[in-house]
This record gives sequence, C-alpha cells and structure tokens, in this order.
Amino acid sequence: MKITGSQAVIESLLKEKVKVIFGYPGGANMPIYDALYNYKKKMRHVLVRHEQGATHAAEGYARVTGKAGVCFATSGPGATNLITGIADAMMDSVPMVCITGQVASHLIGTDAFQETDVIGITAPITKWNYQITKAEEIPQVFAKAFFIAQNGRPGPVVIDITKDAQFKIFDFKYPKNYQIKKLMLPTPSEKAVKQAALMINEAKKPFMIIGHGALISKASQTLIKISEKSGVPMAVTLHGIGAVSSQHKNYVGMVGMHGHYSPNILTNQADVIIAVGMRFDDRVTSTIATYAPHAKIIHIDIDASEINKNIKSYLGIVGDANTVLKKIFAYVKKNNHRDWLNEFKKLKIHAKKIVDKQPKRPGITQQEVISMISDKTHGEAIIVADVGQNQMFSARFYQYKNPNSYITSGGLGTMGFALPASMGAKIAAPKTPVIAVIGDGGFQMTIQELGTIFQEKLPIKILILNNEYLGMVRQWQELFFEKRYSFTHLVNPDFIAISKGYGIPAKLVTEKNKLEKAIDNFLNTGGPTLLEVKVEKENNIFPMIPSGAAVDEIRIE
Amino acid sequence: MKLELNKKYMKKTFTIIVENQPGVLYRLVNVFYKRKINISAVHVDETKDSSISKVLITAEMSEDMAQKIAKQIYKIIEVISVK
Repeated sequence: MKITGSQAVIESLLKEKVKVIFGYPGGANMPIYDALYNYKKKMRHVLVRHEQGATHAAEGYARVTGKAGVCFATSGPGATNLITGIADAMMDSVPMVCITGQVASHLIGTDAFQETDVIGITAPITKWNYQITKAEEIPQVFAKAFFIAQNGRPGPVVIDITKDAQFKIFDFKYPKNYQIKKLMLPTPSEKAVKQAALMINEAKKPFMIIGHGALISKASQTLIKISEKSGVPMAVTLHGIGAVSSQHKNYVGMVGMHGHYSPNILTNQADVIIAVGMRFDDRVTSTIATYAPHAKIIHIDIDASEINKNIKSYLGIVGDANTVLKKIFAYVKKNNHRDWLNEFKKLKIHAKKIVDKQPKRPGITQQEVISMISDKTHGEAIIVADVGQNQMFSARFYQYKNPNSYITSGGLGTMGFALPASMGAKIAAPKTPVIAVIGDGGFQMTIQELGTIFQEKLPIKILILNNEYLGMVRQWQELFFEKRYSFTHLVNPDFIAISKGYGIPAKLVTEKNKLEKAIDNFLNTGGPTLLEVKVEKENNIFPMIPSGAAVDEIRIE
Repeated sequence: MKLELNKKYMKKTFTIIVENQPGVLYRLVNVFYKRKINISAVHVDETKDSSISKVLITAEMSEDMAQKIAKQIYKIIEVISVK
C-alpha cells in the first residue's frame, strides 16, 4: 500500500496493537499529527500539557498493562522535555517508545530552528534509539523498536523522524514476527536450577527478596507456590510491592532504606538469599561491605549485567524470573521454617511496641490517611505514588493485594511523576480505582496535567498530602543536618482553587475528626476529584536505615 | 557477601564486533565514560563484510571492572560480540 511516512507511523503503531498515544504536536511532527487526524476512531490520543507528562503517562500505562507506552513529541524543546521520563523508564525497566519529530534531513547539523541532537542526548538513557531519514525505514525500525522495548529487560526506545521522511510516499509493508535473537530468553541450565533448589532445600535461614522483574515476568503464583512448599519468607523491594499479597502468611514486608524492620534486620542473618528480578540497588543494600554477611546469594535476573554488578552472588541465573522459578519449584522439597519465620514476627512485635509508645500527634499523619484508604479500598486500588515521604508512607501503610498496584518512580526518584503516571494507569485500568498520592512539592512539578485530566475526563482520585515542606529532605535536615531547614519550606497556593479552576471538584481537610468523612466522600465521588489533607508538618517516616549504616542498623525512631 | 574487588589495575583491550552504523561508537565509549574510565586507544575498521565493523578499545581498569564493562557493552543492541 502506497502511503506517506506519517501514515506509516500510525499504521505501524496499529500493527503493534497500540491503543493510546500520549503526545504534544509541534513544527517537526505536524505531518504525523495531520495523519493522526484520519485515525481518530482507531487510535486514542491524549494531549498532555507538557511532554514530560506524556512520558510518565506512558510509563503508568506500561506499568499496568506490561505493553510499551507510546509518546509523541516535536523536535528541540519537545524532545528535550521527554528526557526526565525516558531516564525514569530506563532506571525502572519500563517499556516505552517515544517518537520525536526532527528537522528536515538537509538541515540536520546546521543548528536549524528547534533542532537538537536527540539521538545523542538520549543514547545514555535509552535501550536503543534511531534516527529515520528515509520513509522506507519506518516499518522495520518500528518493529525493531517495539521488540526491543518489550523483550528481555524492558526499557525505553526513541525513534527520531525527519520531517521530509514524514512527507514521503512509499510502499508500506510491515515485517511479520520481527525478532532479535540476542534478546530472546536464555534457557536456564538444568545444573544451575538444581543447584539453586539444593541450596534452598539445605538452607536453615533462607530469605527471598522479590523485585520488579518478578512482576514483569508475572511470577506471582510461582513465587507463592515456592514459598508455601519450602516455607521461605518473602520480602519485596519497593518495585516488588504487590508481586505477592501483603496478607500472605509468609510475607514479611519490604526491604531497604524505609522498608520494614524485621526483613532488614534478618537480611544479615539469612544463610541463603534468593533474589528474584531485583538489582541490589544502594537503597536496598545500604553499605555493601556489611550487607548479608552470612548469605550465599542466588541471583535470578534477565539482565546478565546485573549479576555480580553490585553484590557478588554465589549462583547467578540469567533468565525470565517465572521460567527459572518454575524449574526450581520442581526440585524444591517440602519444608517449613517456622522458627525462622517466628523471628520475623517477634521483631515486628518489638518494633510495634516502640512505635505504640510514641506520643500521639494532634494533627493528621500521612500514615493515618494511607491506612484509612487501604482499609476502605480493601487493598485493591492502584496507588500511584510520587516521590518522597508520601511515596514511602504509601509503600508501607497500604496493604497491597494485587500485582502492579503500586506504581512509583523508584530508580530515578522523579518528583512530579504521580499525577501524569496516574493518567496512563487509569486509561490502562478503567475499572480499578486509581489514586495518585502526591506531596505538595511534587504536585507543583507537573500540576499542569490537571488540564489533561479535565479534558479527558479521567476519573482519577488525587490525594495531596500537604505538610508545607519538601518532607523527605526536611526529615534528613532534621536528622542529619541539625534541623537546618535550608529551603525546604513551601508557601503554597490555594490547591482547592487551582483544582476547581481546572474543573476538578476538590475538598480540603485539616482536622483529624473530619478525615474519615472526607475520605469516604473522596472515594465515592465519580469522575476526577482532589482531596487535600493538611498533615503534620514535621512527621518522619520510620523505620529508616541512615545512609552509610548496615541494613541491621535500621532505626525504629 | 562482600564484593571482593580486584584492585590491580591494568590495560585491558576489548575486541568488539558491531553492526557498522552511525552512533554505535558513541554508545560504546559511553559505557566507559559513565564510569569515568579514560580510554587510551580506540581503533575502528570495517571488516570484509562492510555491514560489520571491528572496534578495539583499550583502557586501564581492574579485572573485576573489565568483566562488568564487557557485560554492559554486550547490552548495546548493535554489538554482536565482545572479548
């Protein structure tokens, strides 16, 4: 079929079964937008208010569906505005395809109007990128881009298309079953699988740490089967939340800087650690020299470069987590580690006693808000958390039951992530309540996306936890910088008026005794809605591993 | 388990077979630059098959780091092999 490059872009997306594009038009991608005009019935396009919003929305969509999120942006500033979201997707292994317009090929390298070296800028933060200067390249490059973004360890891809290539007419033919051999899943060796099972069977204090890779490979059921058969306690990383239900009897909580007390302490007593689709990030291990000194580590990851990158493993198995775990399961013997699991319980009770002794605060705390929402939604909503205290409170105090129900920016830690990401999550899961949990700082980084939410009538619940501070930085200033609150206090605008200005109904709650009614109202209102909660200004998130300390030096208060 | 770094630094040469395309060298040197490793020599040649190039990159590092760098290099889509 003879079509233009621009039509070929949309046709290629249809071939890849793309249902929604998050984007922003401009000079260099106008031909693509012109083509899109004829596909309005087949393809949804969400007009964001800033290109960064498009990337986070695409990430939210990808994190819920497992399919690549798609962004459009123009050249120059349009493309550079994508950078934060692309870097975010790279760090968090999120499949994403960004399509940027570029100046005409004869102008490349001349510092033309709105020209930037997008390929150069995005090379270090993409899994792959490519500049198309001839329309004929479009089908092959798109097939390759989607394959790369969605296979192996997922990640972002950028396709830059010059304006002349968008106009050119050519004979469109999309490749069928495009594959790159290098990215095909390696089959784990039987020997390694047997060795892993033997290590688990012989361990006295085995401990499983579940990361994002487990969610990406849909390994939840296999993890539970292994844990129930072998009695191994299960902990999660920040991105592993939801891989197994927090209600499971062998679930012991989250590891890491603001994780739970017992799994952090007992990491350093474990004799075998089974690390599934996680990368021993510094927020998980704290000081490497003192991390898990007694443990032989079995590291299962799809990315070979993660094995022995941060932590030396005893046994590294490269492969898809679910495939590897299923094979291991066959050799795992029935066992229970009741005494070992009891040690987790004892420490949990110990931590709770200390927390319960603390004086009650007069104002509303972030943890009360999250706990209440968790109870009222039965742990079944999708929580899209921003970055900072709100992120850690919603990781710790919401009782997640389902996979892919806690979405946040973990690796890059991008403030302003949650509001746009919640748009993508809502489009991906229209029947599940989606709650964006955001602090007053992060909200103002991408606040303009309220406009997108209003225009698209996205029924997102926006929860603003307002402490009038950049809370996490303030906490560190309090604990480690002698309370020198250097530029962390915010004088905020009237968020309620802003929300209403965008046509989104909003309520403010400031008193504890009015919180429950406000939350009920918030959860039961249809359409987009915003609730601002004025929370305790100087409340800290504990436990916490101070930087430089060992994981078992975690502080409860 | 502690990561036992081999602290002995020595010159390492990576022999990398790649698809012959613009931008591949840029991605390759980024792997070194990201870890602030100074490259002492680079050599690029087309092979008999002009769609394939051979790149030699030399830099000083520990054996442990060389293994990590090799894995990072292999992640680049256009890289066919690395030694």
